[in-house]
Amino acid sequence: MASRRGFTLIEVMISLVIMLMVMGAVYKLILSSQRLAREQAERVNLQSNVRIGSLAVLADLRELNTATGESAGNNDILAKDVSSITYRAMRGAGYICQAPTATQVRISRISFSGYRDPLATRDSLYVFYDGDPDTETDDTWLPVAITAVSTATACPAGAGITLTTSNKDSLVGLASGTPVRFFEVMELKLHQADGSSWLGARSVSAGEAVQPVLGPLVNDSGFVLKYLNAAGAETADRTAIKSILVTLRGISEGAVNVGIGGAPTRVQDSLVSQIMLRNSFRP
Amino acid sequence: MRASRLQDERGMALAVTLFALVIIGTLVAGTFFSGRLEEQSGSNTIYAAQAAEAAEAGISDGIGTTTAPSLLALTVGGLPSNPVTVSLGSRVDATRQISRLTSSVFMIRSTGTRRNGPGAPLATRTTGTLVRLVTPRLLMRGGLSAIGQITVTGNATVSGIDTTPPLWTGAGVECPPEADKAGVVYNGTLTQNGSSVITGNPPKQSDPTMNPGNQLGGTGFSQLKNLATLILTSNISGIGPAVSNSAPPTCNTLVQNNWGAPLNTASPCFNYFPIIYHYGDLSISGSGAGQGILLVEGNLNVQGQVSFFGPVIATGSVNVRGTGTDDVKFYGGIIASDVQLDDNRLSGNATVLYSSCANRRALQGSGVVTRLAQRGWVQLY
Repeated sequence: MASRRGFTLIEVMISLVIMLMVMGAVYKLILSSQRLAREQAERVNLQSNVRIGSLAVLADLRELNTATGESAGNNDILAKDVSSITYRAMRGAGYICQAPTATQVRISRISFSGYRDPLATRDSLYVFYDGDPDTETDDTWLPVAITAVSTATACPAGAGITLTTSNKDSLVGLASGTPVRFFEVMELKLHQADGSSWLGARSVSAGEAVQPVLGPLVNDSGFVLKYLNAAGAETADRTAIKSILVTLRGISEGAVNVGIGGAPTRVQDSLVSQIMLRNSFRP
Repeated sequence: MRASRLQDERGMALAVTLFALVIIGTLVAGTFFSGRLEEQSGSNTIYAAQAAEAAEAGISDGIGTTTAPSLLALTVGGLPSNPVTVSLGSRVDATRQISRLTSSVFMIRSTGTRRNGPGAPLATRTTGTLVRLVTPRLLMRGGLSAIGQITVTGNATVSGIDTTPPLWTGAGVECPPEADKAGVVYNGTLTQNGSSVITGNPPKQSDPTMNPGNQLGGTGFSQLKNLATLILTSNISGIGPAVSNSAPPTCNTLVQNNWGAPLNTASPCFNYFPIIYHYGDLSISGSGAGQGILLVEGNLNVQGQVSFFGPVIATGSVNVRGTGTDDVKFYGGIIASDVQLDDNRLSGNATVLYSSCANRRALQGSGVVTRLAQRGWVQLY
């Protein structure tokens, strides 16, 4: 035991220095990896955010109907500018299951397909009016306000949804099987809240305030809409719009170090999509 | 002793290295995992887009290939048509069904599917489109109506008596009888000589109010020609059905002289009713039978053993000439400016018979499937 000797001070100091250097290198490596992971996570979130937002916007705008020279009822874009759009958003479709009255329309549940069930006041109805069945020239869609909804009703061949409507004499005489669609008026816009920009949405027909639904987005240019006519040129005429170019520019919620030694910054990403309005196929 | 000292030494390099490796490995794995998740999310978006586009393609294919007779065979509010699946390339297909909502409005429902290698669905999307039959509207005033000069001579026959084509009786064709019409309705001069026969209720009817603007009823010639499904580019010598060799055989509607098969109820072309249009004078010769609506923006000359089932409309004159033992027969009616029905040989015949059945089948059968002009496209959930 007495013959065993310990480390000298020099040995201990050299060991400590070497250990500090190794620990420093390891720390640096871990820190870099952590920054990379955080940056990657931010980018993934950002890309997902932008992609989901783009899909949601396109899905809502896809069914819009526009037609030059047609009545206001056949043009679903009610107001627009570069960062906002107000429109009739289709929420569902079905068929009348029995002859309607001037104040009541009953839809077959089996035929119904919708984003959700119709809601009184918030939603309105479009009922197809065939007129002379041998010609398409008198075809139109009758707008009807929905004042009450009952889902606990029956059609002759199964469950149904009964819509109490504003008085509309032209509903009388429509055949069973007549298609109907219901919609609400929506607004999408670049919305400022909590010091950031967001994609904001609101149901105009329900009288809602704008709610942020996606973001954060780049200030001023986070949500940009460009309206194109049949020739692909930008148009100011709402009735001539055939497609919409939607640009979403997202920004990460937190700052990340981009690359090794880069200063912390909020990263951005963008997605540009063009949606053809499916119900605007006529010139 | 030295060796035993070394064995007793305790270091921490291995522990530090392992610790660092675990931390770094965890971070790298997390990054890889989130990247993989993002890649899969992107792939799913692509699959969903492919399925949605496939559904759209199924709709377009349905509009392009569905015939009016097949739509009219569906019951209002009844079961939808049998599903039709269209392959759209590797691992993508669309299946559609058609329902008849009202007498004139139909819904095409199409589900697009993106599949993996073994065929299991990765994404599906369903869309619908409301369509209707656009059927030409025509006012057939009689067997023959013309503005200008009408000459019926030789052994020619014109009849306004409602006649059902003989082969169609008992062939599953519904032909409810309608009231007889005038044999010849004219605003101009009518000359009849030779052994020609004009019958109807009445046989001859002068109508001074008939003019080019109202001769066809509510539809103008230009509206009709816009519905044309078969544009002729030259004169026609011989007409007859063209059937593909596929299984089952189908009617080849791309052939210029395939005007349906009115005389063969078993043919795939029996329910094919083209709207045939030719700009300029048209000559039809040879033999054969056709059906549909024949529109000629000019003069029409027919000679040979030819039968046609459905309305014939020419903006110019119509010259029909039997040739000896051969016949020229029209079931439906003729509307034109000037008409010459002549038969220079005693054994030949030029015959025009009013047929509400032939006209109805031609008009309905030549209806064009078209999207509703407004709000026809529907997102289905």
